[in-house]
Amino acid sequence: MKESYIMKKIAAILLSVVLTVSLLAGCGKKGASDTEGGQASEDTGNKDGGISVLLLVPGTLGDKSFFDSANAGLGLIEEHYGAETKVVEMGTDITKYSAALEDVINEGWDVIITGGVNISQPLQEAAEEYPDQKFILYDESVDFSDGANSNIFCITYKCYEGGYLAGVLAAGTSETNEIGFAGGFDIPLINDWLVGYIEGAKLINPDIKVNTGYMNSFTDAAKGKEIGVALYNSGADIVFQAAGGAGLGVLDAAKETGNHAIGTDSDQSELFSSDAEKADAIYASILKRVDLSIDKAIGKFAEGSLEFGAVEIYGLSDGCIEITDNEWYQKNVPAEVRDKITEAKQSIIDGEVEIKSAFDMTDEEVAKLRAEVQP
Amino acid sequence: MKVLEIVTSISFLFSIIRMTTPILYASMSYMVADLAGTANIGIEGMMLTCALIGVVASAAMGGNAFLGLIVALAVGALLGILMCFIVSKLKTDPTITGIAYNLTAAGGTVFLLFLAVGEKGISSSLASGVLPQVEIPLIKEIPYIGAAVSGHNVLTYVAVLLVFVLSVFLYKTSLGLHIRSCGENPEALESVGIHVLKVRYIALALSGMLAAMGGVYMSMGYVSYFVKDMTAGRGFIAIAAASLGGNKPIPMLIVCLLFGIADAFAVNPGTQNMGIPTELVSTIPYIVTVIVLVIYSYKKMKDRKKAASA
Repeated sequence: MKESYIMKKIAAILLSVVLTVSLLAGCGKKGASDTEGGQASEDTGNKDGGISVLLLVPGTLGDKSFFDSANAGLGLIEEHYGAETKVVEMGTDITKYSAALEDVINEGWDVIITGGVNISQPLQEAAEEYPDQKFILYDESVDFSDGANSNIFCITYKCYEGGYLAGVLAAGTSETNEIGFAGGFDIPLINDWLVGYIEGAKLINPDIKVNTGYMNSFTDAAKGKEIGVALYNSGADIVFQAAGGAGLGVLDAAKETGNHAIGTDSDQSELFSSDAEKADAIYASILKRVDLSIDKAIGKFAEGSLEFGAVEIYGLSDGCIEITDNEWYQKNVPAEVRDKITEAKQSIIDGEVEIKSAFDMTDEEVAKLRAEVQP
Repeated sequence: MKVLEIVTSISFLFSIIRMTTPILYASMSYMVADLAGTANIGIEGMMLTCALIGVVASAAMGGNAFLGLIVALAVGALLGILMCFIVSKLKTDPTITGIAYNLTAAGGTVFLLFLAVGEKGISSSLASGVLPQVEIPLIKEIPYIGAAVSGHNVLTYVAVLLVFVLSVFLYKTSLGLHIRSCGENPEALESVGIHVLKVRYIALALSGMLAAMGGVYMSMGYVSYFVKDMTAGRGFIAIAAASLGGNKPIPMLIVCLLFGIADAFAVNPGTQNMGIPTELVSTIPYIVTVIVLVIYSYKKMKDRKKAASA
């Protein structure tokens, strides 16, 4: 009797240790020591009057996407403005974000940078409670009417411009005159790539057909592969994927069916450089340069010209949307198509083409556009 | 008309089989454990862990996929044995143990991945192997069916084979009988001199290995790398599938196929572009679950009424 009681206790303790470890694994503060360590050695003389910036990651670093890119942005502002920086990773548990925000606000940073849709609500509440704290929110915008959120500066990106370049690339290299788009969810954030993609493809070939599929997931790579295989099987020979981790499955599908793909978020040819065949299947990747946008915003902040309580949309002309130009792009994309992309890039920067954003369209309008180009 | 064209296409049939495989492994894993009297809801975590272990082990051994599979199987068996120890020996609640497994795996795989490659999202920098796709010589020649049935990953065929092996093993061998008695009436088993705990250890090791095969299929068959959270709830859908199949191998295979069909229907550009909102199409697998559950419980209710009136 006694023994089984002790056994139960041991089991309870063991399980609670396991639970704690798993929670801790989710919200370690790994990045902090990295950046601090790197900075202590190089700019000790630069500290006086410098600005202090904290990056609050609603998730974990290592996403090979906008969290990592934001972290790279910290490196840039250290270098350019001698800023003191730190990273805090909050993990994926949304319920903890408010408390974490409060913690870092009390640490007294000049600017707190964070990003994405999940942190938006807690951030707005904190911004109201701490009107003197300055925030930068990337990849998401908030409501500024009636002077609300006057201490938040929002950065969003002209994804449709990136989609436009992907469209030019896809239509330029397609031999079947049918291209595909594989999205994570049927939402404006993803469809913003799509509307640009369709527009860009039509520039090269007005009769181009664009097939679309959604995985309804950002993590399920297997579903990404299914969508990819289905798009290739139905006749598309290039697919542009915008679906986070799930989209990586599309790249597998491209390799397996002997077709090509265009990546997003990170340089995905580089990501799969250990698999030469797959890296070759990826013509290029479209990047959101969160790092550059943060560098730009902090630059303005340093000279006192950053206007809080407003949103700025960065795109190609700011260098914040980019198409990768690497060895795979040079090797696999024909020179004439590369020239067309350079041309298209220039015409966007010069403001010669007008591309719609999915954020300015209703769901019906997006659906109609999608139906028009269906094969 | 277009729907008919899509669902009868070879690539659609192919995709059903591909999507059914991981659910089938996980269902078999749950079935064996549940028959032995331990509701193993930690399958999701076991799959995820073994998906990563397989990739890391295979890369460590020069990209040999089979060695990776063997290491993953060993880890799966150990996870099963550990679960049996915690539940049967330390007398914890199996549900809570399962939750602990799942939570530990979600964070732990990212931690392990970081230790192994310094990444927190994807293992693509590891040169891990992929289990081969197999062309079946004779079946391949059959028009239409051949193209859909042949050319799958070797683990897909192993899964189907295992369904039949398990139905013989569980219902025709003495160890199978012991496993089933373990869940239904352990005292009776004890009274005839069988070591109940030993049988349970075997059953859970088996359950862990089946989950491991499902995980390895995801990371070394379906795709060629580990991505965090890549099992995406398949371990839970499998619990529903095993329960609906009444923990019997063949009915379970049919239920898994049903889930596979629903999944393939939802994740298809053709069906998504018919004007039905994609959100609605993606709810199909869950609607199917509810419908099947209703039919199942209605049948059970009728059976009970029949038994009562007789």
